[in-house]
Amino acid sequence: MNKEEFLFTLRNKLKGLPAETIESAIDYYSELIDDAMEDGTSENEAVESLGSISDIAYNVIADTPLKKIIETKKQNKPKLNGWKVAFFIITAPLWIPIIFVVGIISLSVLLAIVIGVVAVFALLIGLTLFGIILLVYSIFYYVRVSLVNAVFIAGLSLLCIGAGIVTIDLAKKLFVLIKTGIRNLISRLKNDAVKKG
Amino acid sequence: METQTKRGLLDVCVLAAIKNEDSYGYQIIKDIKPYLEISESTLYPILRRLEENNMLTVRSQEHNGRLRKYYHITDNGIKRLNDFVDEWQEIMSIYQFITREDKQ
Repeated sequence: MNKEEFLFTLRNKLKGLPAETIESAIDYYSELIDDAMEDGTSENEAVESLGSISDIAYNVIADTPLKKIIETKKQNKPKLNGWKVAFFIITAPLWIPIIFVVGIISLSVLLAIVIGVVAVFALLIGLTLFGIILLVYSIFYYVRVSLVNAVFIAGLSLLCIGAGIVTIDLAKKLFVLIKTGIRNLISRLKNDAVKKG
Repeated sequence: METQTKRGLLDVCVLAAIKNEDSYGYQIIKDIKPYLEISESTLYPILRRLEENNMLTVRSQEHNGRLRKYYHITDNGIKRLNDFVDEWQEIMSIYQFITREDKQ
């Protein structure tokens, strides 16, 4: 590797550091190669004797305070240029309706799920309450009409209560399943956004 | 040599290399190498650190149509060297304690 290549590679590896830090390191190694060559070492040998470029870059980065690196990162953040802004505005008629439609669809799907869950719970609670009322009614029925009919109604009410209790438990499990599903979906979307951003 | 000891010694050696006259990177390495293992990439952070701590100053001077950085020792740097020599008296007595003969 010759001097040019060495300095080019080193500069690339130091990308993201403050310009002053990069220039200082480049000057230092450039001078060392020149001096070694003046001392009778060949260009390739002079570069070889410096060791691995990755190690050199690592040492320079390790020696730079984290605060300086973060400041440089902030300054180098890409800004929206005019062309990008223009592109977004021109294509607005295309992407605004798409975002709108996607938003509406996902909102209605979410609403449908919520309503469905509420309806199932309401139905089951209703069934249980109906069973309890029926049980009370059967006592009156026994007093006023006959034992056989009262027992039949009481049995029916117990069936309702039992079915209600068992299915409410199942519905709860289903509800938890839907909740974790939605949560997982949201966290996955968030991860994707961070990776792209 | 143990790395911690070596680190401390390298700083002093670099100062010693520019004690009598200003010197530049390649020459400093050449002067230290017979005594202590030093590489180009270890010298770089030492020079920066010594400059930050006002032990030396840097000036660029033209040499063969290019710029070369010369390092000049400051009063602080000279004081550091003298302190090291004083410390060494202590270290020598510790050395004698460590290597003393066992009394039978």
